[in-house]
This record gives sequence, structure tokens and C-alpha cells, in this order.
Amino acid sequence: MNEIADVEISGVNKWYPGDVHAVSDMYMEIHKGEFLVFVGPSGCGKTTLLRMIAGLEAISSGTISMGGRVINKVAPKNRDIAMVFQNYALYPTMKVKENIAFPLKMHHTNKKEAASRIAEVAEKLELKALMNRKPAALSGGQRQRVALARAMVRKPRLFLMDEPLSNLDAKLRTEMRREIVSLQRELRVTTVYATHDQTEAMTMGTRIAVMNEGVLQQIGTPKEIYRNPKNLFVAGFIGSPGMNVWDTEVVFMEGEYFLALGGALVPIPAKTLSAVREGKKIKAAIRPEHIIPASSIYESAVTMKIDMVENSGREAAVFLSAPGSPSLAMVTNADFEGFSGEMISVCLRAERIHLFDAETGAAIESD
Amino acid sequence: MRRWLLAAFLTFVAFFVWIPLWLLISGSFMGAKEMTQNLAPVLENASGYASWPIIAKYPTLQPYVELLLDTPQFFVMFWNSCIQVFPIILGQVLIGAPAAWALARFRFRGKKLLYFIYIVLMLMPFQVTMVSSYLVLNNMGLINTAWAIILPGAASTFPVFIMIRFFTAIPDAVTEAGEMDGASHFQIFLRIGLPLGAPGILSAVVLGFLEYWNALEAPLAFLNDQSFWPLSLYLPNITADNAGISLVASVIMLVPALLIFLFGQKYLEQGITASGMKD
Repeated sequence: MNEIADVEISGVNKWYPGDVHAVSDMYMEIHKGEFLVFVGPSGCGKTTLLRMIAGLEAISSGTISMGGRVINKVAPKNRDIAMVFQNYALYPTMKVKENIAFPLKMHHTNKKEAASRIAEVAEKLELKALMNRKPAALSGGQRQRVALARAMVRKPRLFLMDEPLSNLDAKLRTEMRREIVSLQRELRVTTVYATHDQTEAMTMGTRIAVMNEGVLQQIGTPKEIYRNPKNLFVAGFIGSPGMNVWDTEVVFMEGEYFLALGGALVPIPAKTLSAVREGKKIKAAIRPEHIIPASSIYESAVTMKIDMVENSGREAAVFLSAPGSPSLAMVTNADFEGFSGEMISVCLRAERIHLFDAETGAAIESD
Repeated sequence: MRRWLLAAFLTFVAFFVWIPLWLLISGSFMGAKEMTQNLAPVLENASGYASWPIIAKYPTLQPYVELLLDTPQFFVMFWNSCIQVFPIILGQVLIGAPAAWALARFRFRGKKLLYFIYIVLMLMPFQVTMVSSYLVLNNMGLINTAWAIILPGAASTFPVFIMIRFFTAIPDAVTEAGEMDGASHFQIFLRIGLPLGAPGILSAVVLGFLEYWNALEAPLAFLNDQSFWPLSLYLPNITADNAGISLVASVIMLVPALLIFLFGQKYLEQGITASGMKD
């Protein structure tokens, strides 16, 4: 990945009237050519941040720079940024070709050049047959393609996409996801994409910025974010089903360290515990795929009751509970044959357990 | 069955609405003699009752010929109506549309107060502002000119109020997309706002035309010279002895309004809905 910062967000804050702190002290570098995804629940500030980059929202404090130039006061039209909106925002009174031509017209691109660029994007996005239609006569997927074409035709320095797939059905969404990623890889234009869908974030982004309540929680590659969540929020937000989290404490017994899981004890390698005192209240978390069905004779196995099995055909999500123990979700092979009400022994892969400070929610780093 | 009953009831009510219109049209084809005979008990204190046939007994185009060929005064007034109403409508669009766009789409200091003033002015009946308007127009030396009708009409607040509703309904994302695509505020207004707000503008045009085409008070108050009077003031001045011409004049007066209504009915309805009131 090219590590040259294309956009630099430095100490950016956004307050709305009524003392609403939508974006809080944001620092971030967006690298040239990367596909960065802002992900977080509704109201986490991802769209506000995106709009501040676009210039559609004023910045309360801090600076946003592009190519080393502070753009806080630069009008959106002079930022060389194209944006794809959640509801497409096509011009309803214009035909598809007029929609695509609009940005070129506004930038006084010469006619010959404009015609060739329009033909090029129409070809790329398979819009040739739709050029004379009005947006109202297009399906959701086609509208989305026109919106992408309108953004691409200008060859901007930066693409911003604000939940562009959220109005499409699941199948189309998956298709468009791949299409957007392959277009971005081909064009190599720096792209910032906002979504609340962690699957989109994981599958599309070269890096992901997880946000919550206006605060950047963690930024990194999908793998880093998934494997080493920096705090409980990231741990719970990324992954489906989410990480299993439970209140626990470290127990030292017979020369070994254990984590309490309800009444049971799960052995845990001592190296992960260097920062944890015995008896300290912490939270432990484990991904569902790191819980595995096990034979009950295995000494660290925990016996739990199956509450529900959701078999997607590709894998089975098994929801488990036990008296006095936190409920757990386990993802296993689709051939899993357990049924609701059945007792089952499971094993937690100790090396995959994450520990978090119960008060701050921050990950407790192992050596 | 219920639908049928409702249709029958509405037809019955509509029939009463149509009666005066029908009498007007049938009367416009009546000769002077037949008209006098029919209306003598009312107009000449003759004995008996006035009568009005559904269709003229001896239909004739004579009143039309008389009005259209022998009454130049009518054309002068028709022309007066045109040169007063069309500039008003043009002015309302040229002034009102940008004003409505600004009030609908921009955030600026004093916007709420300005909008409040617009509403208050809109709600005031003509009689309330008549004297002050007269004084202003008089000081400007505009009394007894077409401008005395055109300028206050063109700056009317009602079309702005209607257009605001339509411009507000345009999704923010569409104008923001325009901004991102490199359009200036004026280009966004011209290329995105106006086409999308066209139904609102047409509603204002239709409602404005009907209002000013039929206006009585303003021309009566601000135009002393009868040679500047519009057609709407011609009709009340027709006397009993030329009732036939009056009916024809009424029919002709009705035509532009009717055409506007027929072609702009959709927008008229949208405008009435948007304004939340019937003017």
C-alpha cells in the first residue's frame, strides 16, 4: 500500500447546536489510493466526518488537509472530490447521460473530451442502454450505477461514498460491493466509504476506521481490527455473531492461571496475563469461531445447553447457556448436529481469548 | 352502490354550479330583442316575470359581432388586462422564485423574521394595505399608470409562499450533489432548483393569473383614468340596455382563465394544497 497521506484530518471536532459533539478530536491519515471505510453504528459521526471532508459541513475546530493544503474554507466544488450519496441524489429532471455529463459541464470540460469520458464510464458501468432514461425509470441498482458514473466521470482526486448500498437488496448489495471494489482498484482513486454494515467494511476496505459516539475507536486493516480489537466496542461491533464478552477474574490455582466463566474455569496461558493482577475484575472476550465442540472428557471443556442453532448451510451458529454462566455464541461447521435443549461440551481456545479492562474497556495487551 | 350514489350527488351539486355558466353562455347567443323581452320585467319594470330559456330561441352571433367588431373600448381594456397581468406574472416568477429559493434553501440571520413578515403581508387583505400602497405609489408618481398595478403585484408575497413549499421539498442531497459536481449556488438554482420546483412555479403562475385577471380593487383604487382600466372593470359598467354585450364580454373574459385552468389544473390543485388555503 502506498503510505503517502492524501488527506490528513487533524484534531477535527464538530459540535451541533444543543452541545451535540458529533465528531470528537479526530486525527486520521488517509493514504493515497487506499479504500478506507468509516464504520460504526448510526449516529457515530461517520457521515458527519465524511461531509466535513466533502465541505458540506463546517468544521467546528481542527483542520482537514488534502495534499498538504488545508481545505477547511475551500468550497466543495473546488476540492476535487466526488461523492456518492446514500439515496443516489440523481437529478430527477435530467436523463442519465445529462446526469453523468453534469459535473463535466460545470467544470467546462471540452465537448470532445466530455463525450469520450461519458462513453468510457457508460461502457464500464454498463449504462449504454439507459442513457436516455430519466432516473425515475431506473431500478435501484441502475440508479446506483449512474451515481457512480457521475462521480467517476470527473476523475476526481478523492471519492466519498456515504452508505451507497444501503437501499439495495441483499443480492444486489453483494454484487455492487464487488463492483465498487474492483472499480476502485482499477482507478486507484483514494476512496472513503461510510457504512454501518461491518460486513461491507470488512470485505471492501483496505483499512477500516471504527467509530463510536464521534470518537475514533481503532483504525487498521480488516485483519488487525478483527484479530486485535483495541477495545470492547470494536470487539463487539466487528464480527457476526459478535464476540462473546463476559465479566471475569483471573484465578491462580495449582500453578496455573484460569479465567472464571460462570462456575467453570478456563485455563489461560500465563503470558497473556502479564498485565493482570490475580483477582482483578476484567472482561474476557472470544470470537464464536474460537469456541469448539469438544469431548466432555477434555479437562477444560465446559458443559452448556444449546438454546438455538442457526444453520446457514455454510456454517452453524450455536447459542449456548448454562446456569450462572454467561451465554455464548459458537460458530462451527454446518454439519453440526446438536439440537435445542441438548447439553454439549465446548472448549474455548485459550490463546484466542482477549482481555479488556472492565472500567475503561481498553484491551489489555499481552507481551 | 355507494360510489354510484356519491357520483349522483356530486353531479347534482355540480349542476347548480354550472347553471350560471350555462345561462351566461346561452345568453351570449341571444339577440337584443329576445334579451329585452326576457328581461323586461326586471330591467324595465314591465309586468310578469323574467324568463331565461335553456337555449336561446333565436340564437345569433350578433352580440359577438357587436362586441368584437364594433366595440374598440373592449379591446383596449382586454389589452390593458394583458399588459397588467402578464408582467405581474413574469415579475412574480423573476422576483418570487429566487426569493423563495433563498428562504427555502439558505440559512441566514433574520430568515425567520423575514419569513414571518412575508406571511403577515400575505394574510393582509388588500383593503388594509390600500391606503399605504396608494401613498407610496403616489409619491413615486406611479398612480394612474400600469406600473401601479404591476409593481405591487409582481412583488406579491403569495407566490413566494407557494414556491417555498415546493423548493423545500427538494431533497438536500440533490443540491449537495450539485455542489459536489462543481455547480455554483446560482447554477444549482437554475439547473436543479428551477426544473424541480417547476410545479410550484406553475402553481403560482396559475393562481396568480386567476387572481390578477379578475382583480377589481387595485385597478379601481390606483387607476383613475378609465382608459387604463382592465377588462375586469369593464363588466360592472355595462348597463341594462347592452346586457347582451356584457354576457359576451363575460364569456371572452372567462376564456383565458378557463384555458389556464384546463392546462394548469394539476398545478392549481398542487398550489392550493401547498398553500393550505383557498385564495
